[in-house]
Order: sequence, then structure tokens, then C-alpha cells
Amino acid sequence: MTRKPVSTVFMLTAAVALSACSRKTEPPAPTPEPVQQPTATRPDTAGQGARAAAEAAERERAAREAEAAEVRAALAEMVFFDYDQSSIRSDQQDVLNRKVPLLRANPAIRLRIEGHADERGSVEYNLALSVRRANAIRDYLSGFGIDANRFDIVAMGEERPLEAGASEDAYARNRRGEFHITAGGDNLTKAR
Amino acid sequence: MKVKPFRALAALALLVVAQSAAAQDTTRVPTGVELRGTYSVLKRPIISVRPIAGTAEVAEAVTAILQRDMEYSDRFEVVATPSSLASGPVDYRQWNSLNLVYLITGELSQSGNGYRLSLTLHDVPFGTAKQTAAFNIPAPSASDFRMAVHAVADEAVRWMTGKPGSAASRVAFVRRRDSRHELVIADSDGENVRTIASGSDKFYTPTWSPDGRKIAYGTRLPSGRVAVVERDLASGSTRTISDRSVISYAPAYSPDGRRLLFSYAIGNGTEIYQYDLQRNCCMQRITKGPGADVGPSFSPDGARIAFHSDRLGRNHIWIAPSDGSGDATLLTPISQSAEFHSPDWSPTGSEVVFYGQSRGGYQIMVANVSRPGNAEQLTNSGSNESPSWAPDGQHIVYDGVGSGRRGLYVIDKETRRIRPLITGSSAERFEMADWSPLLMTATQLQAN
Repeated sequence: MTRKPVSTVFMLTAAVALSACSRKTEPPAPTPEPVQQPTATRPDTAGQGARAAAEAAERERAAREAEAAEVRAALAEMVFFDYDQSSIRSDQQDVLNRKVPLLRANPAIRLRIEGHADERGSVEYNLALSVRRANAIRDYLSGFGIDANRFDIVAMGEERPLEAGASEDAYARNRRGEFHITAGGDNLTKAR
Repeated sequence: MKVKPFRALAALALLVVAQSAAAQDTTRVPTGVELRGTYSVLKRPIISVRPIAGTAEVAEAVTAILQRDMEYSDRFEVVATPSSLASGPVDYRQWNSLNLVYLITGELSQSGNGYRLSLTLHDVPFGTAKQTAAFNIPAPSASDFRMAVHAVADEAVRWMTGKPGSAASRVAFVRRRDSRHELVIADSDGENVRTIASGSDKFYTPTWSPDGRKIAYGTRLPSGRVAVVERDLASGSTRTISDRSVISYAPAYSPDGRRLLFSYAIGNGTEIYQYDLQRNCCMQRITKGPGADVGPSFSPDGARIAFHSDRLGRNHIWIAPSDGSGDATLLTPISQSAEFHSPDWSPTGSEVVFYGQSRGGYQIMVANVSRPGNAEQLTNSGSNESPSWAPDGQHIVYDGVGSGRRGLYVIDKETRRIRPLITGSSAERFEMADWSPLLMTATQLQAN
């Protein structure tokens, strides 16, 4: 497009503004509207209308997918624990808090909460510790009114480290809760 | 808790202080744990196993097994037979000049499909045969050939020391290679390594039944739960004991074989539950209270269990009645710097072996049940975990790092001698070993 009359810019701005009002998030970059130019050629209004509808649908689909990806990412975000502890750390509460409205907005979601431990201590103890961690996460989330039955608890013990090695950093990364959507993961939306 | 109230308060106060510290101090030997530097070896009788007479290959195989079992018993100083004394009538005077106390001789003759092994124990200073007996053993091609010779060796050890050896036994363990697990059994001398279960299943905490015919263990199901399963070793058939909880694992059979205790996640904790093996039902809670109660191990009389629990905030070894009828008492020393895991009650009844933090690593420790708050550290280098007693109550198998190679090792509590049982590549772990009861005894083989 080589010509950008002021009217086009105004329409673009209006479109952006309108879309910004209806969503709480950054809107995707809008594609420019096709502009009707008075020319000598006969305008193909039917074809242009169909293209416009298709492009609008495509934009909407992309927007929904982007939203769903955000929801998935927020739900999948891991929480980390202190050594031998299963209590939710204060600096981890935000991670869990962010999941609550998403679980409310998508009532069909089932989440598998996996508890993990670092490799120190016995395999036996780390299995029990993992259960406690996963339970603590479930209890925290259901404290917001989310039905506890929407969560499945799995204890992974020390057998799936995120990071190999015997450093304190690796240990800290391995003491975690992981989240996996096991049902209701289609058409995820951020708000009702 | 039976710990007196003041002591309990003091203990709790100590632990509260310890937990509020930013990092644990595990660089020292913990308070209450005694570390002996060098262990002076008691004077052990010098013995020799003379080459068994009879059909060459079979006799050589029998001799080799007997000689190695005598060494592995750690009860004797075993010397090789000089070639001049290798056959013919026993020359007590010559043997006496070598300071020998006992000499073992034997003869192998064919009998049916197998062999008849007659064994004689000679008291060298006394200059006479002291004991003799004959045993039926299968041919070397039979699957229980080695075990039968081990049983004869155990009997010879009993002749000499009053207590049988542990050779006729096996060790079950989990071999982990990356994320692949296998349930494996090896003979007590490291031979006959057999995988009894493998695949994408994960296996945990195998334990032998008192009759040696079954192994119970934890296994991860496709659903993600960990269940207790019992496998019959002869038929390979399995049955599920408990699969209702997120985790059921760390099983232990009562000595009479009637009950199976294991850890079971329930509510927000993990408690020890009991399953009735005779009625195949009827779960009953054995431990209660905060914390995770894990890994029960029965006393030989079946009346008590040892287990580890973090009910005080840090893992310690506890003793409780095995029927849940009373409170648990603390066995391990209260210390700012240590936690303790994975107890196994000795067949002698008086000791419990476990492992704990010491000087930055994990070490094998033993406590006397009648003297809680004290422990003796057996290993002193590398990092060593998951101990299990041999039937003789003197040897312990554990997962450790010997001279650099990770694997299963056996330590003798008296002499502190360590031998490798199974070692592998650096990518393999051998874990959660459990030593079987005696699987065969000489009385089963006695011939006339």
C-alpha cells in the first residue's frame, strides 16, 4: 500500500482504541483495513467483503490462540519449594494466585499437580515429600474456592530433575510443583 | 512420645533453632554418633579349604565357592592350600606349622542326577577330625547348584563359629539407568544377576517375604500412582496389594508372614498401614500424627517396627509397637546437623542400621535399640545409603561409592571390611537393596 490518507490512519487508530477497550490485554497488531479508492476500475465489492470477513475471522482466531497460549503458560508455571519444606513460599504465592481466575474462567480444566524433590535424602522420603508439596498446592488453590476434585496429585520424588547435578542451584530448581492440563484444555479463555 | 516431657521440649527447641538457621551444618559428625578411626581386627582363626576331591570340574567349582564363602564370611583368615598338602591323608603336623586352626576337606561323588558332597572339619591343633556330614547337591547345570554349595558353606561356618554364615541368600535391588528401572536379584556373592521385572515401570523398595518365595515392592502405575505389588518369584505372577493412594510403597513383611506393613499417603500425610495377608484385606492404620512415616522394618519377634519420620521437622529413626498400640520412641540422637533415613532391624534383634548425614555426606550407622540417642558410624568415605542386614546380623549391603565406582557394597560390622557386590558404569545406580533371609539350609540337603 503506497497511499495512506489521513482517513485511513484515523480508522486504524479508532480500531486500535476500540479493540483496546474491549480487552484487558495488549491487542494484536491490527492489519490495515483495505481502503476503497475511487478509481476508474470497477470495484469488486463482493470479493472485498468476503476477504474482509475472512481476514477478520483470522485475526480473531489468532487472538484467541494467543489468549489460550497465555492461559496455558500461566497454568503451567512451576512453583518452587525450600529444602525439606512443603509450605508455599511467600515469593511463590503470585504464581499460584495467577492460576485462580484462569481456573474459574475455564471450569472444564483438570490439572495434574506433580510434586518433585531434589535428590538429597532417601528415595522413600522424597516420594512422601512430593505428595505433601502437591497437596499443599492443591490446598492453596482450593482455598480460593476452586473445587479440589479438579486436581490429580502425582508424587514424582527425585526421579525427574529439571536440572542434573549436585549444586544448590540445581537442587533449588528440582524442588518444585509442576502443572499439566489433563482435560478441558480447549478454547481456553482468560475471563468470563 | 515416650521421650520425657523436658527432653522432648529441649529436643524441639534444639530443632526449632536448627531449622531457623539459613543452612544446615552437615559438615561435622553429628552429636551422639561415634566414629571409630581404625578398627583393630580381632584375632581370627586361620583356616584353609583343601581342594575337594572328585570329578575335576565339579570339584573345582565346589572348592571355589566354598573358599570364597569362607573369605566373604569375614570370620577367618583364609589361607591357600600348599600343593604339597592338597590331597591324601591330612598331615596335621604340617598344617599346624602353618598355624592353622581349622582345615576343611571333602569328597564329591556322583549320586543320581547330582552329587553327594561329604565334608569334614579338622581341628588342627587337636590333630583330629571334629565333624563330618554328607549333603546332596544338584549338578552344576541346575539352577540351584550354587545356592546348595553356599548352604554347605554356611554349615561349615556354623561348625567353626557356632553361627551359620549368610552365603545361601540373595540381594534384591533396583537398577536405575537414566529413567529406566529394573528389579534385579543377585546371589550374595554377586553371581547369578537376574532381572526379574523391567520396562517402563518404575520400581521402589523391594522386600523379601520371610520364606524367600515372594518379593513385595512399589511400582508406578500408568495413572501416576505408586502401588504395592507382590510377586511370586517361582511363577512370576503378581498381585496388587494397594493401589488406592497417590503412593503406597516401602513394604515390610511381619516375620510370621501374616501382615504386610507399608507407607500410604492419606490426607496430607504419609502413614504406615497394615494389610492382612491371610484374609487379603483389611487395611489398618499403624502410625499417626504429623509428618511422613516411611519405611517400616520389623524386629525379628514381630512386636516392633523401626521407621523414619520427619514428625519433629527433620527425619529421625523411630521405634513403635508393630500393631499401632502405643506411641513411638526416638532412636537416633537429636542433633542440629543430621537427618537419618531408611532403618533396617537386625536379625539379632538388638540393633538397627540406617544412614545419616555426617561430614557433608551420607554414612551407614548402627544404633543399639536399648540405648537410644547413640549411634556408631560404620562407613567413613564417599556417600553411602540404603543399608540392609544379611541373615547373619553382621554383614550389611548398601548403595555406596567404594573406590570411585558407584554400586552395591557389603561391609562387615565387626572387621569393617568392605567388598563390592555389584558395580556398574557411572550412568547406573543400584538402589534400595534388600538382603533375603537364608534361602537354603544344610539340613535340607543332608544325606546319609
